Amino acid sequence: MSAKGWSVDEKRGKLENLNATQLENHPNVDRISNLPWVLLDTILVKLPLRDAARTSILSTKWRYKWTGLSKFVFDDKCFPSSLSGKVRWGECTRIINQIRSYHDGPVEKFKLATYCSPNSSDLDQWILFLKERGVKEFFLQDVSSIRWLKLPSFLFSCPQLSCLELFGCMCKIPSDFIGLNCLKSLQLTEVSIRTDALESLIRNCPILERLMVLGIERLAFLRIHNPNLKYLKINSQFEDICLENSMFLESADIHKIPVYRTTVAQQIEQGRPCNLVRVFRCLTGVKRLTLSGDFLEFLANGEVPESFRPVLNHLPILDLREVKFGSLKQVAVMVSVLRSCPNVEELIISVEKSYSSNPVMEFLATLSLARFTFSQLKVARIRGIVGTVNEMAFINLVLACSPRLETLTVVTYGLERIPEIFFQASKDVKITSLTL
Amino acid sequence: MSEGAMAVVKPEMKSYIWIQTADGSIQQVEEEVAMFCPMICREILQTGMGSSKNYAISLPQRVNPAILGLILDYCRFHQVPGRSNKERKIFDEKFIRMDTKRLCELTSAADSLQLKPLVDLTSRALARIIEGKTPEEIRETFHLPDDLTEEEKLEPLKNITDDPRIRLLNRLYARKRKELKEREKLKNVEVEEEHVDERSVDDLLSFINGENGDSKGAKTNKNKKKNRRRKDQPKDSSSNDLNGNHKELDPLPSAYHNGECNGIMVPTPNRTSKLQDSTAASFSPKLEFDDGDIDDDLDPAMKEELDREVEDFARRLNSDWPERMQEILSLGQERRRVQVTTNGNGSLHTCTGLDRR
Repeated sequence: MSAKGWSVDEKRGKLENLNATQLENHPNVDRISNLPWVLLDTILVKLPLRDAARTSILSTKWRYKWTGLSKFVFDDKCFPSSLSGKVRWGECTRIINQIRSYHDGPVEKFKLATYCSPNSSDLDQWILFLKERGVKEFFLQDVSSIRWLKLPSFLFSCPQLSCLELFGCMCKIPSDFIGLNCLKSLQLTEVSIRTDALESLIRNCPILERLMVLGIERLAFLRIHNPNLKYLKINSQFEDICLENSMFLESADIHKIPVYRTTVAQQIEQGRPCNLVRVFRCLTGVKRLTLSGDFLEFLANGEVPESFRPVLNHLPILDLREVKFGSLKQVAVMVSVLRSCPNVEELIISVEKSYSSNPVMEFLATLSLARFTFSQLKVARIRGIVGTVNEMAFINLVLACSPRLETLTVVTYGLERIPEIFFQASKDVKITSLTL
Repeated sequence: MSEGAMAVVKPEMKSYIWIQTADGSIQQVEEEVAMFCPMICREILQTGMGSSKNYAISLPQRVNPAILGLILDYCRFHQVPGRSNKERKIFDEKFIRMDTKRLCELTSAADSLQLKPLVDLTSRALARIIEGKTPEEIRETFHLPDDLTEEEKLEPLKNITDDPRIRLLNRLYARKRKELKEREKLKNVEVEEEHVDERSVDDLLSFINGENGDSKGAKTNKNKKKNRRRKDQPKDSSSNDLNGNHKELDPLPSAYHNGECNGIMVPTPNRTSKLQDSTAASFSPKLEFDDGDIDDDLDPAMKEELDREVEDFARRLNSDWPERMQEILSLGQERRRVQVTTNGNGSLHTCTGLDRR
C-alpha cells in the first residue's frame, strides 16, 4: 500500500515538474477540463443542450459537469424532428429529472422552445425547482395545444425573474401577488389571461421596460402605466386601451384586433377626449410608431380634431399599416396622425385593399387647398397599393406637400407595376415603383 | 510650437504602466491599453500601483507572458475608439485562430483579468469547436483522456434521489449493458461500432450520445421509429382536440376563426388583414420566378430598392406571421405538420390554414 502510495506521489511530483517546464509548451495537454467551473459553464451554455449533455461521456472529469449548467435551453436542436409532442415532453422530463437530481447551483435561465405537450404536474415541479434556484429568465415558447396548459401561479412569485415569456398557456396570478420587482421584459403570446389579472401583472412590474402582448383574446381593457417602459408591442383583441405615465416609451407598435361583442360601451362618454387625443398624449416621446388597421379605426372614434395639442415632436419614423384608403374615417385619422407628427422623416404606409370613394376624394381635395405640408419628410414608402383614385390622390398630395422629399417608393403586390409618370413629382424626388 | 513638433512630442508623452507576470518578468505597457483590462484599471485607480518598475502591478497566475502578449494585442486594438463593428468583428475572427490549448489559456487569463468581452469571444470559439463533434473528436481535439470504459459510457447516472423514473431508466441501461456483453461474446471482425440500436433504451441515450447514433443505425430502426410515431400521432392530435384535427384537415387557407369560435382558435399572432392575405396569395407565385429574370432591365438603384423591399417583406412575414410564411413556403410541398423554428423570435407552433376575415 505504502509503496503504491509513494509511487503515485512520485508520479505526481514528476508531473508537477513537467508542468513547470516542458508541459508549458507541450501541445497535448488537457487544458479545458481544468478551467474554472464558471468558464466551463460559460462555454457549455453556448452549446445546444444536447451537445452539452453529451460531454458526460467524454471522460471521468466530465461525467456530471453538464447537469450543473446555469442555463437550460430545450429547443429543436435537442430532439430529432420526428418526435411527437408527447414523446418530446417525455424526453424533456427525463432530462429535467436528471438535472434536479444533480444540480446544486443556481439556474439562471430556462427556455422551452420546442413543440411539445407538457404535463402540468411535471412542469409544476420543475418550475418549483427553478424558483428555488432563483431563476431569472423563463421562456415557454412552444406548446402543442393553445390555452390548455395550466401554469402554476407560483411562477409569478419568483422574486428574481427579470425576463418572462409565455406562450399558449393559461395564466393565473396568485391571490397574494406582490409583483415582480426585477422584471424587465414580459412577453405573453396566445395565453389565456383575464383582463384584471393582466392589469395586475403589468401594474406590479415597476421596472418593466419591454412589454409584448400578442394574440390575447377578449381583453376588455388594457391599462399600461409603467414608468420605465421603453418598448411596447400589442397585437391583441381589446376594447379599450389606456397608456399613462410611460414617459420613456421609445417604440410603440399597436395592432388591435376587433372585438365583435363588446362589453364596454363603445360610445363616447360626455366630456371624454377622443381616443386619438387620449392615446397620443402618452406617446410624446416615441421615436418609432407603428399603428395598424383597426387601431386607426379605434383612434378615429369620437371627434377627430384636424390638428390637436399632443404633438409627437421626436418621432422620425411613422409606420401605418392596413390603411383603407376607401374609408373616410381612416384617411381622416391618418391625416390627423400625420399632422401631429411634424418631424417625421420616414413615412411607411401599407395599404389594405378597399374600394375608392368620393368623400375621400373631396376630403383630400380640401387638404391640398389648405396648404398643409409634411415639412421634414424625406422618405416615403407606400406599399400594397392597387392604384385606386384615392390612393393616387393621396400619393400625389404627399408629393405636392413635402418640400424635402427625396425618395418615394411605391410597391404593388402581384400586380402590374405602376409607371412612374403617373406620379406628379418635382425633379428632385426620386420615384421608384416596384411590384413584388 | 509648430504642429509638426507637437506630433513628434506627443508619443513621448504617452504614459506607461508597469506590470509583472507570475514568472517575475516585468514590462511596461501603454496606459490606455492596460486600462482596458478592468482588473488592471481597478488596481491603478485603487492602489496607485503600476507607476514605476518597483511598483509593478502583479498579474494573476493564470496570465503567463505569452498569453499576456495576446491579451495586450486584443486590448490595443479594441481600446481605440471609433472602430466600426465590422472592423472589430474581422479582428476578433482572426484573433481567435489558434490551437485549442492556447484558446483555453486565453479564456482563463481573460477571466482572471475580468476582460469580459474577450471571455465571451474565446468561450464562444471553444463552444463552436465542441458543437456538433462526436465524443471521440472532442477527446482528440482537447486531448482529453479516454478514461471511461465502454460500459461506463452507457452507465446510468447514480441513483441519488431514488426517483422511480430514474430507476426505470437504470433498468433500461442495464438491459443495454447486458446486450453489450452479449455482443462482446459474439465478437467478430465486423463488429458494429454502433450500440444504439434498440429504441426502448434509445430515449435518453440518443440524447447523450447524440444524433450520430441514428445516422449510423440500421435502417430498420428508423422504420420502427416511424411506425411508432404513426401510432403516437392520432393520440397526440386528439389530445390537441380540434386544434390538431383542424391542421390535418384544413391545410388550405379557408377559414378564419377569431374570438367567436374559441375552441378552434388558431394559434397565430392575429396580425392579419385582407391586404396581407392578398399579398400572401400573390406572394406565392413570386417564389417561383428567379431573381435573374426580374433584375435584368432594372437600374442598380432600383434593384437595390427592390432587394430592400423584398427583404423587408420577408422580415415582416417572419416576425409577424411565421405560420403564414410557412404556409406559403410549403404550398407546393408535401403537406405535413411543421414544427420548425423560423427564427429566434417565434417558432412555428402548428400549421393551420391561413387565417383571414
